[in-house]
Amino acid sequence: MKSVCLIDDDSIYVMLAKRLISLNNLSDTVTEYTDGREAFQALQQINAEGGALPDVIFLDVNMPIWDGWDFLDEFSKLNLAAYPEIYIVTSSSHSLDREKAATYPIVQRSLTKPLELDDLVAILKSGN
Amino acid sequence: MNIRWCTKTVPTAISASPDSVRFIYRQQPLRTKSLSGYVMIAASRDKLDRDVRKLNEPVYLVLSSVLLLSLFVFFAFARILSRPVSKLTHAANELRQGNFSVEIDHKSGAAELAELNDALEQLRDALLEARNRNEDFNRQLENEIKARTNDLELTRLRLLEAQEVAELGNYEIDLESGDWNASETIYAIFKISADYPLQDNSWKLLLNPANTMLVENLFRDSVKYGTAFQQDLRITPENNPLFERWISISGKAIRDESSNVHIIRGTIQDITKRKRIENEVRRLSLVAEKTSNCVIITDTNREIIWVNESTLSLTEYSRAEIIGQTPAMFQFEKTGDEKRAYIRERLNNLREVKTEVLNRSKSGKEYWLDLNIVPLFDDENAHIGFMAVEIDITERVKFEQELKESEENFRAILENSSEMIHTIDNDGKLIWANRSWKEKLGVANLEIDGLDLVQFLDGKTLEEFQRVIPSLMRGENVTDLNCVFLSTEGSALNLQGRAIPIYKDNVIIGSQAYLHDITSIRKAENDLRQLLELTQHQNERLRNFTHIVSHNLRSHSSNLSGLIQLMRLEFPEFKDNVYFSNFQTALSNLTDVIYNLSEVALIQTEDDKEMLQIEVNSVIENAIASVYGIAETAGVEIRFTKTNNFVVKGDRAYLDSIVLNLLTNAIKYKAEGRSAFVEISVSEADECVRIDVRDNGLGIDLERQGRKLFGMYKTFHKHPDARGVGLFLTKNQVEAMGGRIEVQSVVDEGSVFSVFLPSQTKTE
Repeated sequence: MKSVCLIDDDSIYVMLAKRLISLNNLSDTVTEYTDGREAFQALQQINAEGGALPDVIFLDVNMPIWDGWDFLDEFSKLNLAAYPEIYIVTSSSHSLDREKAATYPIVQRSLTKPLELDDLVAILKSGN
Repeated sequence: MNIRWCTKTVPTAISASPDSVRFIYRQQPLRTKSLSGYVMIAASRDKLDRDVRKLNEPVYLVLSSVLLLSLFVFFAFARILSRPVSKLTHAANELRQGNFSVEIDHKSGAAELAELNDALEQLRDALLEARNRNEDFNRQLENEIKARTNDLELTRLRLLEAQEVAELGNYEIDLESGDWNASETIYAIFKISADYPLQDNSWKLLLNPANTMLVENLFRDSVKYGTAFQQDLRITPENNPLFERWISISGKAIRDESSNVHIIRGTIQDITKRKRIENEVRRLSLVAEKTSNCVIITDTNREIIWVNESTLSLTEYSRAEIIGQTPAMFQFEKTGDEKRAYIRERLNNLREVKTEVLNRSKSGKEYWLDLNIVPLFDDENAHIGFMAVEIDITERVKFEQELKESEENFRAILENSSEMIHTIDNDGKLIWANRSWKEKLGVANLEIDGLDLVQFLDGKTLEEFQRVIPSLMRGENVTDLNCVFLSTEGSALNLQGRAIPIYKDNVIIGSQAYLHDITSIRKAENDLRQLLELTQHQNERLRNFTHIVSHNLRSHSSNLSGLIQLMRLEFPEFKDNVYFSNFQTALSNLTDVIYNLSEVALIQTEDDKEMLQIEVNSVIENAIASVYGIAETAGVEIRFTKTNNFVVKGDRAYLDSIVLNLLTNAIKYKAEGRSAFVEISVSEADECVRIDVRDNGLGIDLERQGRKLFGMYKTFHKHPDARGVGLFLTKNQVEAMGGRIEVQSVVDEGSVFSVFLPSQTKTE
């Protein structure tokens, strides 16, 4: 079962996502961070201590302190041997965000809020 | 006894040969004040003898009478008077022998003899007297001849001297033998040496062939007609071609004792210097006479002694009218007293005059002269007159006056121009500025000549001027001059214009600028720019606002949807609750609105959307396929006939949405009670592709609704799905692709929506 990391400042969204995952038994490990910097620092530390990084990250774009792009910029610089699957999750229907997301090699693809159960199942159940 | 002087003038040469047997003969050249030539004094020996004989004739007659008488008396009284007769005979014999001093004896004979003796005595006395008179005369004649001979000798010597000075020499040529002779002067003229051979016509070598021929002709004519000749020749001897001289040759064929003519005798004079001077003088007089300038020469009293042709034609007077007058005759009241006084004063002091005067011709024509008068002096530096050289400058003066007038006109135009015009010198000092310039810069009442232009310029304009001045100095025009001038009141004037270099005598002496005041235009421009900036700023804020609103609203609505979904999962009992279901419907509507809103916002903000080529037919076919289900359900027939494969430029998703929307509307608002259809057609119109969607549906009251038809959230039918977003979105999408949408509709008959999109010729 894949471990999941949610990076979003919208607590309702985070709660809904966690409920969807747990109700459908899609993952047993869900960590959450409310801004990009907090997430980066935590993940960097885990990586430094040799800990296990999450398998999948759902990353919001609009966040205080560091937004999603800031996180991606710094996270890319870590040059990890294996990156988690990263999904950009945004409420914007702007194609700009999708286009920008595509420029990061470590990003799998972007999703639009609200998260659909089908998407979650496809992401978390694949490859296992 | 009688003797006559025989004088004869011989034109140029001695022409008679002396005949000493027949004449006592003297010949000498003679030059006196009144006559010149040769004097020949000749006394004929025959005539002289005849005259003497004539003189003696009565004597002999008387003598012979006396002799006859004596003989008669002797024979009559011989016997008686033998002694006295023998005495008489003796006296007579003595007398016959010229012995006039014989004694005549009165007492030796009879009374008759005594009378005879008396007569004889008277005869003796008369003879004595005649002899004495004759002797006196001869003596006088001899003295006279001697004196004349001396004179002639002197004259000859002088003549020789004169010949030498005049470079005049004698020559004599024997045409038969070819021998010739010449005086020393001729040797000098031809530069020949003393041992030059004088045979075989060697004189010909001294002349060139043409001249030799000419001279031979002259000789021939002189021999033939006995006339004298004279000819000027330019000689370049064959043995010395560089030696060019002018000579004057004269001569005459001479007749000898036997009347044969083969001697030419004459003179040759070197006239090279004279000829050169003559040529020079001829040239100079030609120049003076024919020059277009007027030349007037006066004596010291300023009376005109010579004028050239130009003077005559300009003044219109004849020579006769001018000669003897003073040049004051050309002046008149407009000549100007000052100028006249100046000319007089200069001439009185024998100084050169250079001035311009206005004179008048005989017919009253006025003309301007550039006048130059110089006093003339002879070799001894004595003043001999004045020479005036005058150039007719009437045209020039007229032109200058016209120029001045037109310049004044131009200046008046510049002065009164609404443009600001100034002229500066190369140091940036103001030379001139027009009224507009002075008024706008507040210096209307100041003398601006010499002011520094810099004091009117702001700092930036000063840099601008430093930029353009080198161009002006190179002679280039500056057309893009933008500057700010500061008036004396401190206000700034925005000026725009051009500047040109100005010349004097082909040298750039400064520049002139033509500026117009664009302060008010500049201000309007600034206001406009500010307005534009403000609008852009507001637009940008609006765009951000739209984006944020749609984004945030979507977040919240998606959270709400998620929450309701979870509630339904976790609390299935709520499913039948009326509030819950209404809550669900409201949320669904909200989500739709937010979706539409963000779609619209997206169209309006994505200005730089990439335009692609879209095949219209395929879009229509796709749309028909997607509505096929609902059309079937609603019982609406869809008609589409493919024609050309039209291509438009735009966004594929937009065109999909447009066609789909129009089709859905047509199906949605079908009329009940008749077989409904939707007809789609594509055509070309004015570089556009036109898509018509025609239905026979409900139709729209365009008079009432037309204005609001494409507005947001306007619905015109109480249809369950009408949300009032579709047409608004469609219109926005059409316009985003650079097209337009039109509608024609009749209530209860149907509608035609026509979409015009820029066509794109498909590249094969």
